[in-house]
Amino acid sequence: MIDDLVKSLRPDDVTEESYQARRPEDLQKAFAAKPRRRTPLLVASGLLAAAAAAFVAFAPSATVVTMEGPQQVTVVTEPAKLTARSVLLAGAETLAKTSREAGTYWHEKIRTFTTPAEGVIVASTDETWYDGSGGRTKPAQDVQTTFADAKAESAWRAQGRPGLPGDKEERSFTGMVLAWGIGDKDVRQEDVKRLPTDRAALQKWLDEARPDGEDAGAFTFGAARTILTSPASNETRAALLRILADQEGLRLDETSKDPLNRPGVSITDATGDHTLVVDRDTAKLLAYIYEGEDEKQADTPPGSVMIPAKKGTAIAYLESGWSELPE
Amino acid sequence: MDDPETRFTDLYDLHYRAVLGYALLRADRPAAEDVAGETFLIAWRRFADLPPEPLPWLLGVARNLLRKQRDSGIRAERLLAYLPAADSPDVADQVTEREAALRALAAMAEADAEALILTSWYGLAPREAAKIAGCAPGAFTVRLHRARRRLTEALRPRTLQEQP
Repeated sequence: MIDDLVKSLRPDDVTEESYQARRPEDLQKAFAAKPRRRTPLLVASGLLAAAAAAFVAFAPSATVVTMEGPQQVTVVTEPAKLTARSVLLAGAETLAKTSREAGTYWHEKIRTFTTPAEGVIVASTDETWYDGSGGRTKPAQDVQTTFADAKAESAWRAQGRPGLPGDKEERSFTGMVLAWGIGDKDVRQEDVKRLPTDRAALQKWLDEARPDGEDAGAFTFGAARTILTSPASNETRAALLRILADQEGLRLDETSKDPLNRPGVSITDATGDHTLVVDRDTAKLLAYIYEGEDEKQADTPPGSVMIPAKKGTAIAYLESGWSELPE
Repeated sequence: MDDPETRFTDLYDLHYRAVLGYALLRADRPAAEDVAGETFLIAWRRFADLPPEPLPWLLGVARNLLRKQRDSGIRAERLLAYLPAADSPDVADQVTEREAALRALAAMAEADAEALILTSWYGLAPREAAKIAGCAPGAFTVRLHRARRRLTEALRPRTLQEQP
């Protein structure tokens, strides 16, 4: 069999010799460096860490590409020639023509779908208003659990009904700084608003943030998800979509639907882990879906909370944009 | 529970040879050893991020580091230098077959050779291997089948010629 023949070519003698020769030096060199703390998805500073835990539990996704308003235009006119690249470039065109909305608080309403057990989906809606230091939250609204079959339901109940969101209390908060982790950089709301709007400058910023050895394509796609769902400027988002359009290995599904059954175009990165569902006509981000391996919970600095990504999690963006606090 | 240094040393002992073997496909031995060392240095820095099955992650890091190497591409001469030695003259035919296979492997498109090696040397499933190769699982499976067929075809004339 051809596989056995190829396997017999593995240079075991050489690798064993190098292993013996290089091991002491390699280990010494590694242990001379400090292991990097995992960059948390969100960081909350100050004395409100406990409150932050409740807040960030629904905030990992933050925000959305904002396309509402009189300047909304149809961006895709030739479906037959639709490609991931054309969708992204059309989105960039649309964003570049969209003016910023007025308002002090970044408001978003998202519905999160998780898969805490086989055949079980838990959905809940969270709403936030945040101005960079304070705001209001309405967590875990309209919780709904669905099951593939009765067996999945009974198994889930036997496990103690895992995955149900906790605190549902609406509350206001102040003095809380949230940051998004993008590679080696943490960015606060103020930083996100000041991200480069020029494509080359944004690319440089991303290159600086990308951890050593991380694949540029996968990193850019992951960063895109964060930036596209943050209060970044429309110009920054447009630049990012243009960068994304040049990534290799993007896969397009023109007949996709988001978790709320809204039709859209899905764009999946080369690893298959990350999918963005985009409204075909407005280039608005409808949803983000994660199908990679479960991330491990890791230690984070005091006052911060890490939200590890879980396989089968989907976030649908219902509303977002700048606004004032509701009455 | 073991401390991080002990767990990292176990990781190194378990996977160093595999990472180096993969690096040897695209770099000469000193450079490949440097890449393997750098891969584990990154793994230590990001130890908290490592997945439960870390080999595909390690190979992916090595692959990215290898992209920066000027001397990229699979080289027949380099691979031949690593061909496992024959245990006795009786296995000369086997060595000849392996040398032919190695030359054929080295002559293949890099992506095809990589697909064969990721699955046969390291026993990776197509989904894991596809992540390292930077393509979708379906595309990787197609690539792997194609690579197997091409290598089989590349070896067929020689096999026939050697038959009495």
